[in-house]
Amino acid sequence: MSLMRAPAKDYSRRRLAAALGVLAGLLLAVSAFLPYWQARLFAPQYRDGLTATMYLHRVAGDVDEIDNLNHYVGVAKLGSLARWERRLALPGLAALVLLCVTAFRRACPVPSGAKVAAVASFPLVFLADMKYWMHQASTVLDPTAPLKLKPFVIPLLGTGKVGQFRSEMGPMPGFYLALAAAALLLGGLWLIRSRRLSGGAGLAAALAFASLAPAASARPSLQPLLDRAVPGETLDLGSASYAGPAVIAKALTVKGSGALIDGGGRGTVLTVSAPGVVLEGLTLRGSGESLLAEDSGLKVSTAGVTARRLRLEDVLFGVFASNAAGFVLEDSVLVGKSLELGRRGDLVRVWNSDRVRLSGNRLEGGRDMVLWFSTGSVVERNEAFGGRYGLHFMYTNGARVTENVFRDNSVGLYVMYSSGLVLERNRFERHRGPSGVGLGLKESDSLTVRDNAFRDNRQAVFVDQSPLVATNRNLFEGNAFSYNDVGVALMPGVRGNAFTANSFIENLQQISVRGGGTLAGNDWAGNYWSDYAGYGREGRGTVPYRAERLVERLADSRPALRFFLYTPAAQALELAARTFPLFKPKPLMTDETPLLQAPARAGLPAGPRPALVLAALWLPVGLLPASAAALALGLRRRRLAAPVRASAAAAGPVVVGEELAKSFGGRTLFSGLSFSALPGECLVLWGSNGAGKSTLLRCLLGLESCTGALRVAGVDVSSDPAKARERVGYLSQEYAGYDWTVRQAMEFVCDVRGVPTAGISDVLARCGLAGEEAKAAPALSGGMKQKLALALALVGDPAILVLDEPTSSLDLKSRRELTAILSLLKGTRTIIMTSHHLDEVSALADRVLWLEADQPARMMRPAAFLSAVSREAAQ
Amino acid sequence: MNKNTKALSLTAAAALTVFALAQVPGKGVLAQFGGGLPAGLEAVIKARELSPDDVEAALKTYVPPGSYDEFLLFASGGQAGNIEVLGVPSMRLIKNIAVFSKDSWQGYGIGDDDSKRLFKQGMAAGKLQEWGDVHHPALSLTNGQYDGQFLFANDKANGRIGVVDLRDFKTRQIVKNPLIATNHCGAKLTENSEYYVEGAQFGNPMPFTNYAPMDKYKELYRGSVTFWPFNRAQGKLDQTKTFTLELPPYYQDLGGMGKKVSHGWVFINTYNAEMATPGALEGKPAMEIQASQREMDYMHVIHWKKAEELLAAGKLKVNVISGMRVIPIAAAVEAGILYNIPEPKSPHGADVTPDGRFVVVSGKLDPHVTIFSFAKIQKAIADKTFDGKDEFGIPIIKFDAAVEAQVELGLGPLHTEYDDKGYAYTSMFLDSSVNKWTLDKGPRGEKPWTMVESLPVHYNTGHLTVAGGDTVKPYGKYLVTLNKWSLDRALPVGPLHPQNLQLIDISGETMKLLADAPVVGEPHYAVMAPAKLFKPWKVYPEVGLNGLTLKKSPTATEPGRERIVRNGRDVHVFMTAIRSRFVPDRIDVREGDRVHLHITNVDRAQDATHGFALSAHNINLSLDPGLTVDVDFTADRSGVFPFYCSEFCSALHMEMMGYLTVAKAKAAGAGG
Repeated sequence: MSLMRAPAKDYSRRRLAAALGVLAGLLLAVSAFLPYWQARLFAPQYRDGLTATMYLHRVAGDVDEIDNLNHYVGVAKLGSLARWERRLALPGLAALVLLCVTAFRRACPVPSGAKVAAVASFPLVFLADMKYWMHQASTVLDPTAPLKLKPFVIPLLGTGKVGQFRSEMGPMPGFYLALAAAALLLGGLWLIRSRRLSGGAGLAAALAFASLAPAASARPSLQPLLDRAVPGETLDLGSASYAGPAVIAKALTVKGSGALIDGGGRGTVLTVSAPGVVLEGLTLRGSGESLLAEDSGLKVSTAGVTARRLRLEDVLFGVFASNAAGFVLEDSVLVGKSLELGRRGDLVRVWNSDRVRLSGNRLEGGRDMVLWFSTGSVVERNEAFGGRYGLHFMYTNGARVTENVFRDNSVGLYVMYSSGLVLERNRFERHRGPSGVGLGLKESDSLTVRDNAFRDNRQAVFVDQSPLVATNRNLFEGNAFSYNDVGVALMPGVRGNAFTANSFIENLQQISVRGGGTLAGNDWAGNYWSDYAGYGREGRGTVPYRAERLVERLADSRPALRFFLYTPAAQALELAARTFPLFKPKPLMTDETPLLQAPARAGLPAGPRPALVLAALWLPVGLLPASAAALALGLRRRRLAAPVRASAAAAGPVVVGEELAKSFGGRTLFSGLSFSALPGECLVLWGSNGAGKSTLLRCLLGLESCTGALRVAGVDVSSDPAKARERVGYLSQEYAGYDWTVRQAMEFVCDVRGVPTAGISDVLARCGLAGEEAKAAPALSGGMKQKLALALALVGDPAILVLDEPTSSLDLKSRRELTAILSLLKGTRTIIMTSHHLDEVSALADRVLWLEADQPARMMRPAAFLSAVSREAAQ
Repeated sequence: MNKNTKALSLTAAAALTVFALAQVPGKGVLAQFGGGLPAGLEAVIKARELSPDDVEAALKTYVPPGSYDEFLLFASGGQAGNIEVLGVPSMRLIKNIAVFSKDSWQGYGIGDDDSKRLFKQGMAAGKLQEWGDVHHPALSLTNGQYDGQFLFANDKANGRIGVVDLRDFKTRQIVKNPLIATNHCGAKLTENSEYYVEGAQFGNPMPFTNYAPMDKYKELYRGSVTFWPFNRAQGKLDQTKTFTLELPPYYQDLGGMGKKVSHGWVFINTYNAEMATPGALEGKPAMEIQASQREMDYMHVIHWKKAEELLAAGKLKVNVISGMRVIPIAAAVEAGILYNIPEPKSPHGADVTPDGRFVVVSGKLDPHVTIFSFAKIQKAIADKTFDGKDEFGIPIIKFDAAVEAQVELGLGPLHTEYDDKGYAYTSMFLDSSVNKWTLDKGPRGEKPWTMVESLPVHYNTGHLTVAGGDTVKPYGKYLVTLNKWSLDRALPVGPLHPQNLQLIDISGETMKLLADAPVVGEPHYAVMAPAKLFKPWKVYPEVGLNGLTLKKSPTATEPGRERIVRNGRDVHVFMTAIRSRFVPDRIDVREGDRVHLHITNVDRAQDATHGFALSAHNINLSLDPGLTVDVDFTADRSGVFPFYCSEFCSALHMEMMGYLTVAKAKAAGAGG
């Protein structure tokens, strides 16, 4: 390739530069219709994230939802930010386009360099302006907002954190186009200023454009070939391409190694109307789009047809089998047309065909996989993504559904009017559509639902009038329900389901009843509940698990409260509600024998690959700045459970923490913390607010997790929190109100801890409450209430007493009384307490653990501690 | 930023605690009543374990003694053949309107001549029908809004229509369509009650009383829709001026009436486009299997206004069948008054939005509702954007050319109505819920065509109704779902369960379930309107009115002119009833005499109703104040038969009685 050096070519250099200018203008103009920047916001309750997409002149996406959230913390509405900029954006852009187009015109009085600079700086101006408004929004907060936040900053690019929210921000195609326009203009400038030009570049570009012309192709029709074949013959199509539609009306085996039959977008690609047909290794492409005509990739209207290793693409319906008993579809891939969901057809529809076998298929982007009136069918190892109903049964009895993966459909599997199904080892994930159900049962009987995994669905299981006849019980056994909004939702009239050996792990609501009414007649014995806070022995809880959580109830009636779920506040409130019911919520259900550990489950099909969403960007080849890397947006899930560690022998210290670390929303509360407490010792935690004292106590109770090893009475807290809790009595900062008598409250906690009530009077006497048994707890004075709280903590004679600022809300007199009681208890058990009062420290502490944010923890004797405190006070 | 976590959690804790406290009876919600709440109320709340939401719902639905409900709900009684009138929000049953079935409380069909005449009008295949299956009540319309004058009821079982006069809440007319065996669809009024639109349900030969073999179903069976002109002055449907459009023998289902821009058109769903016929013992799959095979059924789009004009001008071919003018399909197609649009299978609702611009179709087996645009339909017709024709030559408008949007709502969408704010509400049969969604504009800035809320209902809800929800100007405020199963919703009363109506408050940002209201019969659909719209009589405006004609009865009897007139074997008794006597109170006849009682309740006091119960003659009359009721029977059995007032009317009610004595024919002959 020769380089063109002739001076006469200056003219063409300028022409090329002008063309680049026009192209740049075009890109800029196009960018007006494309988003420039995107912010996504993730939280446990918004697993799929909320999105705000910024165009030059508007903001799109989940603006309302984000505004709603922002309203809580006093951030201004998105629409109210950068008003002028957005108003000026389009006229401004038009001006820039003009600059681009005229950038390299000789006649123009404005020098090319100035124009190029203006356009090239545009992306920077955009960035700076956005940065300014983001800063403005997150630092100028409405002081009257319900939640007070300190000003925060969200990074423009990459990941940031605010509270439990994680933000992901990054550029979108519009911004890249603006960058590309800048690059083109800079290139143009370089062209007219430099003396050299590579002619090859232009030629290559021309060739590239030419190659885009579609290659005309004429394929032979398949039908004559089929017509010539004799029944029983095997046709091997190899990898040839044929034109459909075609009909197979005799028993043939049609094979191929990727042979293509193209329907050309008309009608049904391949119709099989004779028994005994076998199809293997074919690609069927391009059906019509008529729902009325039920245009399909493959239509089967007879019994005894087998299809293996097919690939169906760009089809309205995929495989439509009616009156096709014994039909087999194996190891095939079905991809629907990219139409609106409601406009699509079913990728698999089986109608009035018994004993069908669907095995090892992958369905993507269709509508439903439907089996109607098809008794005794087998559906195994299929994967259905991005459709409406992963699988839908109507009047289809006795089917086996095993090891399928349903993901990102509106509904995973809906079983309606069917009985005797076995559903085993399937995965149901991310079903968040309007119904948003992993597995739904409607008037279906005698089902076995075993060893399935339900994860991140709006409702993992929804049960309506199933079983239809209560004696035809449905069994749910060994399933794992994790991180769903609702684990199991039932209509109140549902009777006759048995749930056993299932794991309910951190669902926002473990169990939900839809609408008022009393759930009865279902059996809930022996499941694992991650929020079970009782105590146990031999693997079983000693008190029943009851689903009656306050927050659940509130969230049921006030969905906005989901905002608070997973926050420490919600956990604290729930603990209080469980121990001291503020009002009596009606129980949803009771598990009399909850498991203390999630049962091991049989093997499940492989889990999802990490969900990586790559921002797909279209840009002219070669113009994309190398630095514009694709954005990886991933949704990281919470850790499921800590690995089980062997408990250390209970010797020496009763409480041992090693290398403990806890962080929250990107902030470290403590790290590298090691400490121990000896039998009979009183250890006081000291430190300013927010230093992590209460959190450390909550970790001790297993109510919060932290990293490192934490053993209480020889029990590893993270692996067996319930067992650890058995040895601990706990008194929270403030008495939470309840409306029982002193005696009733004590009896309730005895019941919770599974200890006899005989010792109640003794305990009350030790806590200075002798003779107060019949008093209503709300009528007690503050000091008396705290004594009662202490008495409640002492139920069961725990070896360890954990007190979170027991006296913080009391007057001096009451504080002294309580301190006196505690000093009598000291020595009989280990006390670990937080305090803000030096007199308490000197009266009670054997050792002091001093925690301060951003400082290593200090363990000291009281004398050293007191002198250190007075030293610091003097400074 | 790090410091924010603690701040967030603490403030969240505070906010939540405040919130929680606000939920606690006695501490928050109730304190809002000024802190002066009687201790007794708190005790009730505790004893009944009511949640704050329960308390709110109770207050919203409670109508204190002596106060009235805000709305009236007219719910069909299904196979009980009646319409039940409930007050909303209390959901108290106020009245039962007998339409097709006998009702002894109202003395309806229990001997009186008027209901005999009504039942005779409603004979089907020459046979008396003493019950009906009411599905869809409809209120008369003026300018697309309820006018509170008339109520219409269809009888699905017999293809009949009943007209109820809302001056006295009584059935005034029953008409039988001689062409069809059953009706279900249409069942509504056009915008100014020009026509009551009655569509068939199951296909039948024309007329249905002509036998045709089932294997000639496609050839000889047909569907149809009949337009009955309504004469408002007479309060009657005019059978002599009807016209009927022949339709394919698909099963016609519900229809939506055009409104405003789409006035002059109706949209009628169909199912069983497969044209399946039963034959379980002959080896055919069950009907439910056969008739649910196709992906799409058709919605008929009918330009009735044009048909009316062409008929008036004599430009439309009609066949007269059983005295009815029937427009053949071919003529209708030729004239451009009949089209089909494919719609997702097994649809039920075809519900036109208040502005008339959209038709919302719910396919029970499709989780989407499909919204057709009237403007797009018009354009498709004008541009002939057709997808061929169906087997009967009806052009099929291209689905994509007519559809405006599809909204995924969940399972089993059935029927849609609209509120005053611009939301649509769809009953979800399979999901047992009511789902609220936005039309082409979100009233609160939501996305268009998007579901915004779902509320569980109990159970298997069929229709729902919003106050004025099928008019051009809905009232909103309340929504009632008509649930097919009640399961645990009421105390057990044997295997036949009551139906369950549920009242939902839709006035706020979110829907609130307020009350369960178990009712008898099987309400399919209901209409709701403000009580103040209705101006019923408290007593009849004059004494001696005939209950059917509302004119002075020729047999009315004034006090003092009571008499018994014998004319051969006919004995006419001109009787008055007044508190607390019948005059005459003794009627002596001979075996075989034909007895004609003409009883006038001359009481003018409000609520001074008398009954007339005659022992052993299957007769009980309701003598509303001012009415004259006639009854005739043959005294064919000798004996002594007391008659008495069957409506407790005064302190001496028990004394309000008399005797009919029937002497033996022979003895009488001997004596005379």
